[in-house]
Amino acid sequence: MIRPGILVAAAVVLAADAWMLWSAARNRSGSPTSVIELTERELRLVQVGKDSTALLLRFEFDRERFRKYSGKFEDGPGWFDKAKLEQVGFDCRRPPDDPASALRYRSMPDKEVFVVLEYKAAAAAGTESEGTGFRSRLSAVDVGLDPGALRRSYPETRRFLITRGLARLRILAEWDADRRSWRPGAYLRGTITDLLVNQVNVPRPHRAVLDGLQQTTEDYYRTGPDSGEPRYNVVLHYGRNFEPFVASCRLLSAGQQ
Amino acid sequence: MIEAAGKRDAQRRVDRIRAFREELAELEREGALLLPAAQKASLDAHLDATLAALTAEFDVDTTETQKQFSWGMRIASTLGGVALCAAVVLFFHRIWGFLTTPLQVAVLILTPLLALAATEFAARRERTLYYASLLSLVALGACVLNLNVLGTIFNLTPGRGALLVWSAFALALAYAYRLRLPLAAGLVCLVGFIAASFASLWGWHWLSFPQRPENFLIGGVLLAAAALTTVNPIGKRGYREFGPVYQMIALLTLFLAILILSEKGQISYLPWSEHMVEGIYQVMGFAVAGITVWLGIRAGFSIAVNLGAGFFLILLYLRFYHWWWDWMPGHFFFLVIGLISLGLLAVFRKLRARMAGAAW
Repeated sequence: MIRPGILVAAAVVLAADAWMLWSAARNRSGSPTSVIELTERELRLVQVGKDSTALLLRFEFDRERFRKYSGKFEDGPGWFDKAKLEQVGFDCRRPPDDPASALRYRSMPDKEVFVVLEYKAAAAAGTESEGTGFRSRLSAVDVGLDPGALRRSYPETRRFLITRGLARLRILAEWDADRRSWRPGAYLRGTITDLLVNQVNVPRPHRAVLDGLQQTTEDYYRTGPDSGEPRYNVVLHYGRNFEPFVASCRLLSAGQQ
Repeated sequence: MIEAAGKRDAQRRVDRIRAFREELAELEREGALLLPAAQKASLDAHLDATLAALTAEFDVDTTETQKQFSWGMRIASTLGGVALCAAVVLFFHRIWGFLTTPLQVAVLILTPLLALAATEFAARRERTLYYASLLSLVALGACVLNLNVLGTIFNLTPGRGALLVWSAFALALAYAYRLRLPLAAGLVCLVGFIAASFASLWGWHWLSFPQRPENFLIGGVLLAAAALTTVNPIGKRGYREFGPVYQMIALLTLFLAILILSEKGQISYLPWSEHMVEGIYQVMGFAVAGITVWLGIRAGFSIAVNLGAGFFLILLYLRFYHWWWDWMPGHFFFLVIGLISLGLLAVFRKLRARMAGAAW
């Protein structure tokens, strides 16, 4: 007789897998919420492991990646100000200038939000400043808790991408070196630290295009041509669960970059 | 009739029989106790039969040499399981690119199921369960790989449900074969799931649960309560050997959470000042340590007594450091710590004597 524990363990695995497959199928059913064409600047080829044959593209967008980096004080709060922070659920009632409050704000965990990412490909053509050839043209422009409301505010599905991300509250203050204290005027600002789905798997039908690329994006930009033009672009669809999947890949010729 | 809830109880009985025989031989040499030949023969026959029955059913160690070998086999089993897990994961990464998506999914689903089948096969063929224990680790690794890679293949949003699935899988394995390593893994995942759920309840993203140690308090308390149920056997066989694992994970979870909060009040959910929060958790820490030691002595839980006493000491020395280090000369500070330690040593000796008295 088989032990009941084995049957329970097997049932757990099968149920979890069934749920995940159903979730993936649901995401890909119906019309996509966003259809966007991104280049290697925004979807970077990464090395998964020494012997791995997995092909993953990692999202790159204009964000503050490092926990300790808070940005420049003179930049100001921008669009992700105190009002926006409160709208997505952060408690901002404490005065930022109070040292006790600053400690609380610095230790606040991240919140899950819906992020609006704008793809500035059209704006970038012909107006690029020197040295930004390889910088991502995807940047966060808004956040919210209701994806429907965000889509109504940003209806262009090929220019604005709505997906789940992590928002963090930062407190910015100026240090007075003479008085050895913080100057008054500290303010709160939000930042998007990462997307919840921050990489995309390239399935077998599409990976033939990228399999021939010998270098990861990082190596390519370190050793490649000075222009730093992307080598490929990828069309992503975002499904009902706001999760991406690859619709197509193609290599870019010099003229198309 | 030989009654033992599991291999651990059987091993304890064997150890008691060995100790009894050694003491009996010593008493005979000292002339304190001389049994009539017939009675000694009957006693020896009974003890031999008991040892044979326990060895036949539970494959226990009847000599010190066997015990040392068993430890080596356990270590080999654990390391072998971990190595095979790594092999499975790295092999899948190697072949990933050559498989279509349906084939990847099929391999991912089948791997943990095959590992489960292999575990059951090994358990039926070999009573010591060393091979079953090794294969159970492989099954656990395959389950983790299964959910992780499926999520990567379909670009799914990471969810805390994975922790619950891994916990359920590990606990089912643990209770099926009475294995403590999967039990520990299952309980750690369960504590993580409860903490992540609590963080979500407060409006934070579930992955940020380590940033608020209070998320772990509920899980720690629930496990501590569950530890008490392992003392009273459930059903005829019970799972008494699981008690120390429950105690260790529950108490380490609680103690670490309270310790961190007693030092960093700003990461608490409580809305009060940092110093007030730290004070509250310092008092709570001493109270919890004291209650743990007291309960441990009453119930005979040596792990609880040792962990409680250790936590009490760490809290105490941290307080001394915060109160005295800045103004006291360094040599005097350590002299005071040393003298207090001597005093605590005397207290623990009394506690140990009380535990020995409770055992008798």
